Amino acid sequence: MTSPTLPLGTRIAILARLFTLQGSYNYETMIGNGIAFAMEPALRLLPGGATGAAYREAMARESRYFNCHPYFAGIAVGALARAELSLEAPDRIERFRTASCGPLGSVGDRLVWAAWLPLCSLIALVAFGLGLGAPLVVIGFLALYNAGHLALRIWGLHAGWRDGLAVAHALGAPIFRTGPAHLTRAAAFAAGLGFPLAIGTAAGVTPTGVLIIGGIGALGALLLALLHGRVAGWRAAIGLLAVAAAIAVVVR
Amino acid sequence: MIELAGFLTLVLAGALCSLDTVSLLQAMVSRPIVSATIAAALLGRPEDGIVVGAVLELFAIETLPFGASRYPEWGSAGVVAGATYLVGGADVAGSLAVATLAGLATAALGSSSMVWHRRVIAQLALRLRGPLDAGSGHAVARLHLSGIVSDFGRGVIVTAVALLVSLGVTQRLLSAWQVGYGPSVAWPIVLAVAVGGATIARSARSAPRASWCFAAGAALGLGLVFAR
Amino acid sequence: MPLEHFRIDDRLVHGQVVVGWGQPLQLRFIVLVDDGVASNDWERELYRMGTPPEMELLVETVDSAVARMPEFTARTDAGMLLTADVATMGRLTAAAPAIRDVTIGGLHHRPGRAACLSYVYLSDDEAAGLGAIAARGVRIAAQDLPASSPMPLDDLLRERGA
Repeated sequence: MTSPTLPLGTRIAILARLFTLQGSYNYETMIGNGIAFAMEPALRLLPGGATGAAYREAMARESRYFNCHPYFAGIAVGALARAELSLEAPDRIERFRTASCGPLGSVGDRLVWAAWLPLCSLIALVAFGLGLGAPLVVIGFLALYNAGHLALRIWGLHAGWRDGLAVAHALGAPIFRTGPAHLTRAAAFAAGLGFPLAIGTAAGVTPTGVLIIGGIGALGALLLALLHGRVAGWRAAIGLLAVAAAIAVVVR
Repeated sequence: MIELAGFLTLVLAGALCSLDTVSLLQAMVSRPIVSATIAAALLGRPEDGIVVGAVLELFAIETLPFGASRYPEWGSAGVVAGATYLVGGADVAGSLAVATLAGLATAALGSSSMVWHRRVIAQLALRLRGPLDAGSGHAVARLHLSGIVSDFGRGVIVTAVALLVSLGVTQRLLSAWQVGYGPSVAWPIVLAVAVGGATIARSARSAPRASWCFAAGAALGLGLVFAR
Repeated sequence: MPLEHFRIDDRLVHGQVVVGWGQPLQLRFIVLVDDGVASNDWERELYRMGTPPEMELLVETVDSAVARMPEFTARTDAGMLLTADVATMGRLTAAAPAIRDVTIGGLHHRPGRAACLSYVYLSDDEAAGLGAIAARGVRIAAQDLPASSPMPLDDLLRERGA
């Protein structure tokens, strides 16, 4: 059969819907319903249109359990849309859905949540520490982060549609293999630079004060790091701040 | 104190920021450095809001939104923290500590509310099981839009409740505050540096030479601090 | 820290594994045990793409994993063994007494499964399978991330019955 085509209007509709992908996130189907919602404009192109049996079978299949990184879901949506419009065997589509959840989550989590987002946050902290105005810091952070975010969403849908169920090799691109390590190194540099500057600006203290706050904080960081992630620092901080607040209002 | 119109505007901002956490866009408007600054900007002093936003951002880099795991919701948290800091007063002892505590507690409340919200969506999905299994596009769209609208409602409730508690308690807490300005400011920052620093230390071990990059950055950062 | 983590997770290699556990434990190898994946080129390739370059991915069948278990447990770097289902872990624990602890990291909703936790749903067969593994003296708990509190099997099954 001939290769299916995806009109520009349909691509744009899918892309727009991908920004709401996790709207119906739940513990049973995870983002499965969102995948079906995003893919729906493409499935209208199936024989019989939006009232046909092929459309209904595909919608039922695609709204089942699925989970992966939200920015990388475009890859799955593109690949699955192509598979559905090519009338691939349902068991092959099901196997791809099962097998792609983990890798699309792994690559996305490493690249975006664990590398790109912290890097952008830390660059914003550097800017804050350097005394750039609040609007500049916030707009700069959003512009930088979302340049990567938008690029990933657009590329993902394109790559998924282009490669269909053979999309695995696209995940082997250098940016996904070695990119996280480069971004982590950049984030480490930004953290080293940003921590003292941000401490100075936030606390309004002298350089000696920065050394004292930073030194005590570093000891706390060492302690937390030795716990190998078994303690959620932000939760522990709630207790420590509450105790400090209680002491501050009762102790003279 | 904040008047009703200001309060409602903050609740709307908190709900929109919390919607960005999961359901809509995920453009990181929900990050505390953004949401706390937005709240403070709505109250006329963005430069104060970004201080507590930056402190919370160091906590936020520890938390990664993996799959079905529980993670904090920073959108409403940043708005509550920013508003609390401004109401307390940036130059008042204890204000940063109380605002940080308000932000972290709201993040925890938001986390629990997301679990509740996901169960509500699962219940709705159960009710729509027949049409969903039959491949109804209308059922898919209905479930999806219901999820987004109810998540907005969740954000309204979390922000409103947290703001009411926080704004109600802050002035009383600060008027009884006995510790000086310096240590009161230092404590939340020390905790934030500890949590953020541990996160950087963990991730740096996954990338060769990242520790050296941190050391180089720290040398430059300290140099700039002493040069100022 | 050698191979000490044995995890049942239907997504196999994903973010919680490579970042959530991988970074704090400094995991350097993953043993993925699944007869279906081991016999399918494109699936193996997909999981390899999902594994960071600093981690070695070993895709094994149950039989080859049992045969190589002494080699895995003798390694000095940190590793994690993954299976996608209870049955595969059951076969492994029956043949490899070295496995003393099993963590359920994620078994998601599917028709016939009942909820225990937001990330653990079990069918009757799976609950019985876990009971059989525990009867061999293996400790079983559900825990998605290092900072989460582990929930022992007994409590998990009580949640399922609740």
